[in-house]
Amino acid sequence: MSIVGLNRLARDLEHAPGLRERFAADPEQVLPGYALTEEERAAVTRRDAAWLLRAGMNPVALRNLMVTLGVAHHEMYQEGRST
Amino acid sequence: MASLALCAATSHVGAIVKNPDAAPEQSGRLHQAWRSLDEEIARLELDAVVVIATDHYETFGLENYPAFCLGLAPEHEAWGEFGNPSGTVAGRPEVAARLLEGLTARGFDLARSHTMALDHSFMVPLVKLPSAAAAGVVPFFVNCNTPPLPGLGRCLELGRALRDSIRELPGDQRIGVIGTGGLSHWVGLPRFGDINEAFDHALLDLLVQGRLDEIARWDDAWIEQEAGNGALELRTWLITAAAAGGPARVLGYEPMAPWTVGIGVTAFDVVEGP
Repeated sequence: MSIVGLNRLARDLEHAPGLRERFAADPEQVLPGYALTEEERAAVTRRDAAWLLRAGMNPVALRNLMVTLGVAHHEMYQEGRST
Repeated sequence: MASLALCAATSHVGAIVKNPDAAPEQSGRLHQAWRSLDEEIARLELDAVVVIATDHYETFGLENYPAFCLGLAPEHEAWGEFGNPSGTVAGRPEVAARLLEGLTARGFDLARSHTMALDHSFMVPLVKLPSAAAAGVVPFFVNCNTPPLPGLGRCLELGRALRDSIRELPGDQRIGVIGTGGLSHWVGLPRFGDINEAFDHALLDLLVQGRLDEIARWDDAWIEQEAGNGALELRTWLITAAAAGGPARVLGYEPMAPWTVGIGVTAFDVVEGP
């Protein structure tokens, strides 16, 4: 798994001005800037915490990514979100 | 010779300040524990406090991830991530530089940062213990969430080296050590919200009995299974307890369901001599 790319994406979405808004408007405008596989990009776009955890993302970084993308900590693995 | 005047430990979850009045009876007892600890710190008129905490991918990323890192900034900025406390904290770079020398001489060649920003693992305890923040802070980062983690036995030895390095500081400075983290909780995992009260009590009992060697023999996989990845932060407690050398006094413990964490607040008796 591209742990460096995913962690960078999580941090940038949290801290880089305007990036979250650009991602919300069109993830494909943001994701090509990160070294991720197609599957990883798709999982981030559908906010699929279960897939990303299974694939090996650190749960703390994953929590940051999900909360930044609007998924509350307690909703990360709720029915219908999981794959 | 400087003195190690105070050792204490507390949990650090952001909900402590973001949702302070949840479960009022329980949270009330905890807030009282923090107030009494803060009064104790104020009475001691400390010259600096070493805060042993961690980071949640705010300050450190995978481009450079230390096991241990001391902060040497004159002023440390807080991230204020996800609604956590923001602002700045006065550093104690001269104390930090001396401790870096002392620890390195004792075989703990830590990383250092002259800019280290602080996340909620530092800031929530400093908000609850304003007398510690007012004394000036040496932030001490410990990797608690990006394996391989520094071993628990190593943390035990580090605490003892920290105590010796503090006592070697020049003048008659009075230094405090505060560890932050735990107790049982799950971060970013399906079991988020669970608390293992039995584990928390077992840990606190061992600290009260001064049986640190037994804690140091715990296996990380077992800790994570029983008490969640957040419990791996007990490293900061172990370093603090080892620095103190004496038993813990539990000032407060509550399995705080609305805060999703088993919350502990303790002070440790500081033992004179090696």
